[in-house]
Amino acid sequence: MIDAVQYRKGVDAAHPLIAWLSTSTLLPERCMTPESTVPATTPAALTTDPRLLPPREHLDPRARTMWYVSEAIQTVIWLTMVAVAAAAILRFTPVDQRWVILAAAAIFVFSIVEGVVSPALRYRYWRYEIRDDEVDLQHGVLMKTRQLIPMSRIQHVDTRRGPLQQRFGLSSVVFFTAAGSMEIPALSQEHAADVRNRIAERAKVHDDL
Amino acid sequence: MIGKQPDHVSPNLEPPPPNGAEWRQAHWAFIVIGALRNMRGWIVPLAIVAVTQGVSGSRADYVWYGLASLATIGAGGSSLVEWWMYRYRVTDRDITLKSGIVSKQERVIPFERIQSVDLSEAPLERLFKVMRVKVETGAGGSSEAEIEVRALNRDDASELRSKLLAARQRLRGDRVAVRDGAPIDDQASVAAASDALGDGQLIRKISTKELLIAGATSGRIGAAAAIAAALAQFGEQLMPGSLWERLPWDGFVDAASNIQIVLGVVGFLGLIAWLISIATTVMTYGGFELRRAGDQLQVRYGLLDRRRTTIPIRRIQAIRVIEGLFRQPFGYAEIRFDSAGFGADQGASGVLSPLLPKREVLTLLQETCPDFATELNPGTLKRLPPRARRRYIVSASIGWVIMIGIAAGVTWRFFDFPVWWVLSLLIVTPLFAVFGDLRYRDAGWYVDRGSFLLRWRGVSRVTVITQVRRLQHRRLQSDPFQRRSDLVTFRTAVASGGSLEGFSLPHLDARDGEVLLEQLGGALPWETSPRRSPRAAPPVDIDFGLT
Repeated sequence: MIDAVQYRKGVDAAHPLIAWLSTSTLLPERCMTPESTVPATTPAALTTDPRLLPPREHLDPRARTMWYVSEAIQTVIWLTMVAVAAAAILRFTPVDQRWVILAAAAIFVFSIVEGVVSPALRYRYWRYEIRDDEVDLQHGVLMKTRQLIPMSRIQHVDTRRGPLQQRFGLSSVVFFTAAGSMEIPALSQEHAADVRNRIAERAKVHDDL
Repeated sequence: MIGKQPDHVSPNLEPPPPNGAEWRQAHWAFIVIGALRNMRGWIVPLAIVAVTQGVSGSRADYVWYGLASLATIGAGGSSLVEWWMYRYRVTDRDITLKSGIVSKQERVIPFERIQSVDLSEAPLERLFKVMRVKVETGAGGSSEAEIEVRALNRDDASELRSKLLAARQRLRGDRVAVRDGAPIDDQASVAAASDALGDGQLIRKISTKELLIAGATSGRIGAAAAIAAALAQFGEQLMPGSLWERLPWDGFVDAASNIQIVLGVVGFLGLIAWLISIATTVMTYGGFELRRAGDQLQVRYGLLDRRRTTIPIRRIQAIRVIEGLFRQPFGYAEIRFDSAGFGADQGASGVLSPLLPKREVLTLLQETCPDFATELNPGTLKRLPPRARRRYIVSASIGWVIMIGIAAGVTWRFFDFPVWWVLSLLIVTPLFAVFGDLRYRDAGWYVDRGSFLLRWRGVSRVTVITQVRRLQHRRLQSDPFQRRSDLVTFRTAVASGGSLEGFSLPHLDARDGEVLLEQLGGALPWETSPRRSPRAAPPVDIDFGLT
């Protein structure tokens, strides 16, 4: 078999049409190039390779309680709407009763489980860290997200308090870059102000973006 | 407030130049264009009614035509008043636009804030030989951030543009303002700057041959095919009882006997669509010119609607090299730029070259925006791990399979049409799979000395070149399936309305992703000692059927 790397080089040097045609066929060699069989795919390497540490700090523990409350409120509103809709469908349309009840029951069970489980999980996976040069965020239960925002790209920082957050003495920090905004939800109010000031202090004003 | 600013730039300019502070009015064509614009909602239906119904002399006619003339007078009158109230003024510090009949508006843009000055003319404006001058600031997005001076005659417009750009450059102290440490004569500096800015050095022009190639390979055939299909519908009405009725519109089962006619018609429509797409490309990019004047790029193109754009080079955030499916085999690519603060309305992406042989890309970038001049095919492009391949193939073809499945279900349940006709469409699934495989093969990235190159394929192969310092954030995302095989999706974004959603590359090896996060930013906390609780080892034999 031709050495995969040499094969690629030969192809790339040829006419673009040939290169294009040959990349469009399913070449198994391509998948065996040394660069793509990185050692990280073996379990042994995984345990010794350095991995990125998660950000250090957690949100304020009161966040969990607050999220429980807000989930409860949202679930009640949402389920009321579902119940009304289901009743209307049953009353006014000739749709088979069993299906409507089944669907409504499924939505009920799912929403209630979601309301019970998600605040704790969300709290558990939310981490942040304000470092000298970057803001480091990690969150998400199913879809996990790790995000790094350089301080020099942050344009301005806000703290925000919704009505529920005020009740729990919490506050969120929102910061803006030229590509959108990110939020650290639910820090204690003093801590939020501190975080905001730390970010604002380090976020330098750059003329170019 | 602005008036009280100390005149820090040119103290010897005490009374502002006599013609500098006048309120100026737009060209009278403003009235006509405005009136037509006011009437465009109803003038066409009215004309149609007038032509088809004629004048019958009934009372209803008088009412209708009376109303129509009133509306016309109203449209003209309001346009006249609007023109009367529409004034602009250029002082030595800012440009101001006054407008509005009922609610009056006055908007000021200080020269320092000007990011771009665009000239454009719509066909109607072309008729009157007037132009629109659009002055934008970097505040991005909102229309608060711009002034549009409408209906200036061409000389005034280009004079205004060079004046604004020169003044901006002078105020920002970019090279021109100070020579030998002393402020130079203001008039001279403006003249020098506008000389430099009037017409920059020509970098690239498109030849007729290239224009035709661009059209032939534009891949706009989809849109053009829609037009051709519409024409076909029209043709059907024009010639009833001819070819069209012999076509097997209703008897698909008999199609075999008529397959030649069908293929002929489809081929003919395809040809028409192709010709249309060539024509539109020629119209859009005809007379393309790319010039550089100091730290600005000037791009001009368009045969009917002539577009002129000026971009400060340092506002460019990223370069995209787009190799269309039909262009890649011939070694051609389209080059676009993403630039910051160009108003999200239009998308902040512009053309740097509609068609360019790939081997000339590096040269073009060196001449226009050297910050982004990076080898397009770096030998060490980092690739995705083999186990990502299956995901690319599946995600490219699953949509089609599901869609056909649903269509087949609906057909089976509700229509009297053979289901296997629908299911037979599944034979093109491998095509999607091949696309998925292509996507897997093309995806890659490269970080070197502050430049960052990211490549992926949608339909076209796109290579984005940007700089590490321009990335607004970096993000790794993973769903449960990706975590099972230790893969992540990498996302980033630059400051540009044209790519707010940013760039993303799915299914990197998780550790490659982490390394990339670090390469693109500061030092991150790594755990170097062997892990006490090793994460669940990812399945190693995930690349099905590849070994």
